[in-house]
Amino acid sequence: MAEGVASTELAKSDNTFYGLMRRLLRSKAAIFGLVIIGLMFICALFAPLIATHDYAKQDLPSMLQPPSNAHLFGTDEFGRDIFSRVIYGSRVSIKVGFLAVGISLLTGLFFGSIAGYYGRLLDSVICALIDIALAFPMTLLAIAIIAVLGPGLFNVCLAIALSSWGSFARIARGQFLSLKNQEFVEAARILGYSDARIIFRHILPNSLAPLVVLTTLEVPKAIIVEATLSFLGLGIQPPLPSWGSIMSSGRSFLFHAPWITIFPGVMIILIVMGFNLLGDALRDSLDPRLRD
Amino acid sequence: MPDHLLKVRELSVNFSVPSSFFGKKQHIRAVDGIDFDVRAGEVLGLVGESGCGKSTLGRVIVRLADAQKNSKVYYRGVNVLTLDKNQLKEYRKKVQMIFQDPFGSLNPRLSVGDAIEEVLIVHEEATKSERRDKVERLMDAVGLTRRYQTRYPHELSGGERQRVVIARALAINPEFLICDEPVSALDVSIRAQIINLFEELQKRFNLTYLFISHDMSVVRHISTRVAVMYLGKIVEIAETDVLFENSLHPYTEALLEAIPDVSSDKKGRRKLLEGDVPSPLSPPSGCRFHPRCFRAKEKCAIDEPALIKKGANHFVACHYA
Repeated sequence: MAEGVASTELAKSDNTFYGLMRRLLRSKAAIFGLVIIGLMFICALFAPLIATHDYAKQDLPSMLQPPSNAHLFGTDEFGRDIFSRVIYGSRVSIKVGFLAVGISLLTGLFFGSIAGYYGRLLDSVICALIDIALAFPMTLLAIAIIAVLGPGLFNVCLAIALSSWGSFARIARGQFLSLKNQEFVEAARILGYSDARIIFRHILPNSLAPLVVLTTLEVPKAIIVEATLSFLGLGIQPPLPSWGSIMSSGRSFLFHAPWITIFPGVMIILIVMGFNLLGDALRDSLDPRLRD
Repeated sequence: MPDHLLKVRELSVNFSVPSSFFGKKQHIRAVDGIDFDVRAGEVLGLVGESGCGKSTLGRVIVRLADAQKNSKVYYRGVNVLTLDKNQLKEYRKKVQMIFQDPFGSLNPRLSVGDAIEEVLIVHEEATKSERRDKVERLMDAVGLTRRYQTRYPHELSGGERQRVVIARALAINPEFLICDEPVSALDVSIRAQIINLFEELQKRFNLTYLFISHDMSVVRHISTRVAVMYLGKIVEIAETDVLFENSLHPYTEALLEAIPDVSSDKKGRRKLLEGDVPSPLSPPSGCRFHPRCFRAKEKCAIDEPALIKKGANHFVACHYA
């Protein structure tokens, strides 16, 4: 009966989206995280409306000004408005965060599911690949890939995806491995369903919960790696503003004009914190053992 | 000679277990050289303690588990162990399996109606409304009202779920159902209802069952013939009445003694089994039952008894039966 109990919990835990949201919103941390992420999305979507200045326009007479009414976050060494640059920078972070994690989710799901479902030699080969991918520190691997591919937004996403698909693959493999021996999957095989039908209709929908949690935890990692790469000059290229590159340009004026570095830094902290809070709360509300 | 639907010959199943990290793989012989037939239209009960290989036997017949090379399972004269992918799909339209755990055998994300309809989508070319009609007829056949169609498995009781599982298996129009402990996970109060449903459906759809159970009273109620398994071997097989009234194998006797009985006249002389089923990793020599047998003599530890005919349709594997 132990199995029976486990599968009822499984059913209850992910069957109703409504129930999940209710449990999620019971946590203050989750609400806080959602609010931050929501604000970031609004910034990114309506950047032209929110920004007070042209993010690329140089205004040398008013360079390195501290925060004021004219320039909320001050100006940089070319007199560009930091507030506008930070608002536009959220576009880069959010784009990279989701595109990179999207690519690595799909790649990881593909390799993880075929490894878990078909097993045997294919599994051993894919597991070895996952181990290799996870053996490299994410940032180091991303730098190496950028060195080969060259900088740019899409290449940054590709580099991040290549260094993070392993965790998705590993989780997906575990899910497929345990679900393929569940009785409803065996029943589906006896009923003569095709492998594709079994994978997409019976295993996949039941394996998504931990992958969703992992996604919310991988997005902030991707944002940090992008900021790091841009800080090092390997990521987003000027004049497009990225939080990492803004911080990098403020590095030489850290004592005279700390606002250049502080504001994008605060944004990075906020968005990463927002995603982590959401991810943790999501994990708790999806875990049947922690419920109520 | 009655019409044989299924003929099982020399069926053996091995599982390999790694004994230690560097050690040689050991083999568990879960099913060891079994022969039996299932006749069309009958209910063959298969009983035995847990771990004796009865579920494995069922899984091999539907090809969920692999058998050893020389094993043969003939369904209507065709060896099903050598079917290719397309033939297997055809075979599985004839033979279906009902699992023990109705909680685990339904996809938690599919509603009852969708779960049954999916079978029809895969196997029949029919319009949406034809399929919906058939789903309703099937649900009606297993005693579920129409309003269950939109329910999800977690909203149903064990008995209701098992009805859905049965309806889903019937959707394919099978001839032969392998029921692997289909009522063991259910409440006692629901058990009788589901057993009656099985009986009713057998008559209505002209089905043949291989009914696996460890519950002697359930098997007695539903089966026409009963096979008793011990440690991967069939030790006795006979018509239900004969087996329950005149069992010859000491293990069968012990199983029958273990059935709870309200009449008190048997008290004090029950031959209850002692000890556990020996490990299939190293089965006892000779007759596998001899360490626990009250009738065992020296010969039993050396010679393995064969399944010998002792009466009409009555076969026993015991030297002293």
